[in-house]
Amino acid sequence: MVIQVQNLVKSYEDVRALRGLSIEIATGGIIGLLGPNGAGKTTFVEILEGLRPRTSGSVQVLGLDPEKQPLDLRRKIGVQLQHTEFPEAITVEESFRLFGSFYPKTLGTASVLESVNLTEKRKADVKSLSGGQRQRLALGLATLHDPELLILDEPTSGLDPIARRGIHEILRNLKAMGKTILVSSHYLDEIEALADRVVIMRSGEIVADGTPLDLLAKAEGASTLWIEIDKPVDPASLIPGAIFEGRDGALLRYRTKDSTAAIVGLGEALKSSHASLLDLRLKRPSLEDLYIQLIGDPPLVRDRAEAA
Amino acid sequence: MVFQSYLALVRSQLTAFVRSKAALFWSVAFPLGFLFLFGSIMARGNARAATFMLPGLLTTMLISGSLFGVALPMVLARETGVLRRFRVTPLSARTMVLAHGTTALVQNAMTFILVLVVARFAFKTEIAGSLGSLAVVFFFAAFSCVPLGLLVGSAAKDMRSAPPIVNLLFFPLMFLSGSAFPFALLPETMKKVARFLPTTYVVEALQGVIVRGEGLSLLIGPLAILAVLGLAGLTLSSMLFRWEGTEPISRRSLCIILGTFVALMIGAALIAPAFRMSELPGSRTIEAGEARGQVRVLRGATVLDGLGGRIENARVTIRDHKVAEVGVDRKEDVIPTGAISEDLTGKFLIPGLFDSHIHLGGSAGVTGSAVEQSDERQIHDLQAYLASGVTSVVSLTDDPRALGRLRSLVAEGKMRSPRVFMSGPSITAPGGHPSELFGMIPGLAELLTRQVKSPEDARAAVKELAGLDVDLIKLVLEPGFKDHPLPRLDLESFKAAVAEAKERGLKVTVHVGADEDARTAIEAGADGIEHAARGLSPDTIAMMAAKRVTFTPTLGVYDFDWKSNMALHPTERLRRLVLPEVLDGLSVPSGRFQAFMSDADMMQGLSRALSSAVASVGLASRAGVTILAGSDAGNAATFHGPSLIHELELLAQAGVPLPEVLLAATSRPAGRLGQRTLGRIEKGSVADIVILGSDPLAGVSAYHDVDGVYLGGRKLDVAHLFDTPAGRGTSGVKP
Repeated sequence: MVIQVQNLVKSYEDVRALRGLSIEIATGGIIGLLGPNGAGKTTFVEILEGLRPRTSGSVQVLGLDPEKQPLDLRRKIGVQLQHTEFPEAITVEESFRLFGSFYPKTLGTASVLESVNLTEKRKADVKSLSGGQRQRLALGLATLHDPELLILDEPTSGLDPIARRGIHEILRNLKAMGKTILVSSHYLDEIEALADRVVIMRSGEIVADGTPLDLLAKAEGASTLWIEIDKPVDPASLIPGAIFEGRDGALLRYRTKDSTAAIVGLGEALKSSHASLLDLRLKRPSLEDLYIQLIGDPPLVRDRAEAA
Repeated sequence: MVFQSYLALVRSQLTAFVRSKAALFWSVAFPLGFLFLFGSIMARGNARAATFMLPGLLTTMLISGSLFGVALPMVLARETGVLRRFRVTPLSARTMVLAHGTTALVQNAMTFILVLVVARFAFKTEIAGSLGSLAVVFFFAAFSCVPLGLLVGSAAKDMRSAPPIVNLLFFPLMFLSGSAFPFALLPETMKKVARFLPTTYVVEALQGVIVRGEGLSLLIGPLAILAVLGLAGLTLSSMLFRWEGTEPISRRSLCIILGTFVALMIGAALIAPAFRMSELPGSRTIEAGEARGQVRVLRGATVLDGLGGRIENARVTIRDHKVAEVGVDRKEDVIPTGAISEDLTGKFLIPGLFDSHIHLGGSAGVTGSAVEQSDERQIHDLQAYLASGVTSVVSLTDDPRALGRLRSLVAEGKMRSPRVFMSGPSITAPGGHPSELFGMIPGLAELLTRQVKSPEDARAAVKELAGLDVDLIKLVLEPGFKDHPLPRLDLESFKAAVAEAKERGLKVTVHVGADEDARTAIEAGADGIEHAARGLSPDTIAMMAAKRVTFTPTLGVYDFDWKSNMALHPTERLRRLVLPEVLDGLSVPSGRFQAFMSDADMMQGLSRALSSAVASVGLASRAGVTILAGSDAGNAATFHGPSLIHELELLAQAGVPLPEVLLAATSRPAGRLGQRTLGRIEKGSVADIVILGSDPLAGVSAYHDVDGVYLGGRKLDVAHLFDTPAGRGTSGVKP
């Protein structure tokens, strides 16, 4: 096990940020950590990094207690912080040399620069880098010493899609090298696409944990079906097992837990009423649906909906 | 591993520093700006003043470099999250703190060297001590100051709270330490506060090396305190260090840490040795009661101010006992009502002269008569000095209590006298010189020497003399001659005596025999060399020049041609100045002096002594050694007063340029004694002034031509100094 956490509790003066959290993470793969602001992700990650003391519970990272052996642990892990700053007045290459000196062994500046696609920028001052280049620098510095475990806090936050894709590629390469990578993110699609395992947190607890497929299976009534037909029908009773939700222009919108059965049912209904299908669109359940389901709508939206 | 990280951090910080324009400004342009500002205000082209200013300036630079240069970058790194990123690497807080400290040390060293070099070329400053000592003192100074910046940098929360804290520390550290203005000018309570500040010890140690030319052994006290404070600051800042502004500092640990620091500083203040900088140079109070409520205006003379300056057609205004004004005399300038105006056109005014080596207890006679040994004879001889234009004498090897009695007579206004500075007894080896000369009178050797067997004895002797209010310490390193060997003071005792004297702020001058004695004395830290009759090697002379060791060659005491001539054919002037009982004894054909004179071997030896001493003086003068005129009066036929004038002639003959001859008897000896108001004619100086009939820079014989003497603003009637027995009372003073 790379990470073993049992009954982890972290209380600040009047808040319980983590309420008895337990999780085990095995070697290898990308683990996505999701949750709204205030769910306790950063607190959790910082306890793993040894940056925060815990209130109670046990934590083992790579067999070490982060609170008692922080320096030993930091030799073995690579960390990217949420708001990372580096010494500005030195170059990219000098940054690598500086951070490299903190570790007994590194992969070598040249190869890491190559792996994060910064070779061309090696002579540039850190302060002249763009947002995506900075995140790649951060990743490079986190992986410089070939750590077994990488803990990345929102590595793509604030980047454009192309820059994000660049980071995804680096993460996939790292995964291919057998690293264990714990990534927190706000981008659900990113986690869905990258992660081998998704952990969703809410109010200091883990509310879902599994492969993306397992989690999708748990998503309730999550498929949406739009159809357009050439004859007026009673939309509410048209498809058995699907709930009519309303119209989007000419399209009728349905929600169903079992989209396959709904489409088969739709075929039969059309046949019996001699109607033809003009358009069909299907949206399968996503992690986002599960996420909304678990976390709930943002309070503002919910309040407005209730008021209406 | 840790060391490698530390080095890499220092290197990257220095790289960033060198590339940063702001850093370059603060460590190059700003210090140089300060140097030129201070230099142009305080030094005004005077190299000595510039040198004196240097320790304070360097301390200011160091403290600003340590506080602004360390604390603010650290807090900025914390606020931007750079430290947070370092925190998730295996770096320890201690490595981080040490790296920041080391970077600051290097930056400070760069500034320090820059200021020293520029000051050397722009202001001709001269470091009296060795550069090695200076480097060591800098290291200790930075070691104590940088942790103050680290403490603030470790603890301050953000860029809003850090600058006020830094300023709060900076101003007292600068203003109270003696770096902004002389420590001695601070009020007493402020001086007490200053003892708690590390910068006070920094200024003290820097002054020791730069101004006083002291070696490290004399600065152990301040250096030890700096080391302890630095170590404490370093340890405490590692403990306090925060990677993130949000990390809490428990009030308790903050209290413990601050408490420890304050306790250490109090401890330092309590055990700290006395500061020498706490006294303005010249601690002997000038008896101020000499002239009150008078204004004199001396007009038309040429003033040779004793500092190298010359003013033709000058006007010197004396108010009470001091010179109130010196300038060019302009006819239109009004004479203050009630002022005594004297037209001295065609005359020359010089500062009252110093005789830097006399033995008042010696009469210059050889009969040992009651008259020779009487207080009256001493009082007479003091008048002879005044009549010769000598207003200050340095008595070496006399009874300090007897001189104390003389001083109190002067203070009570019962007697006129030149200002008497004294060393009291000489410190020598058991049976060492000059105790062999005092055999004839029981108890005299004990009175006039302290014969020490060990370093402990030596320290005790210095301590005792310091308690007798002496102005300097005289040590003796005299091996005697082949056929007359004398026990020489052992090196350890010698060094101990020097160290003890320095700790007490007393200058040390050394009677030396041969060249190696001089060398030993200089190496051990002596401030002055007396005699050197067996000649000094060029190496020794170079060393004296480098270390600013003064040289009082006392040439006249070896000039037996002159002495013999004077004894047998005294001039009219000599008859007036020397008691007949003294003079007559010297010319008795069967007397001791004439017998001595007839010893041809002895005379030949003495003649050789004179020529080698003369040669040494010539060399020393060209090498820039500070030469002081001292007569060694009190020895046989070395008359109190006239022999100093003869000494000036001998110095001129030895090749000392005439302007330097004047300095050798005025500001130089005054400076050696730390007297900044004597030996010069300038605004604020004590009005000890001699009127000469001719120009002493045109011919040394001018010193014979004394037309008048002012002592503390009073005009002495030279012609009538001896009218009352032994010059007692107030006669001889013109209204």
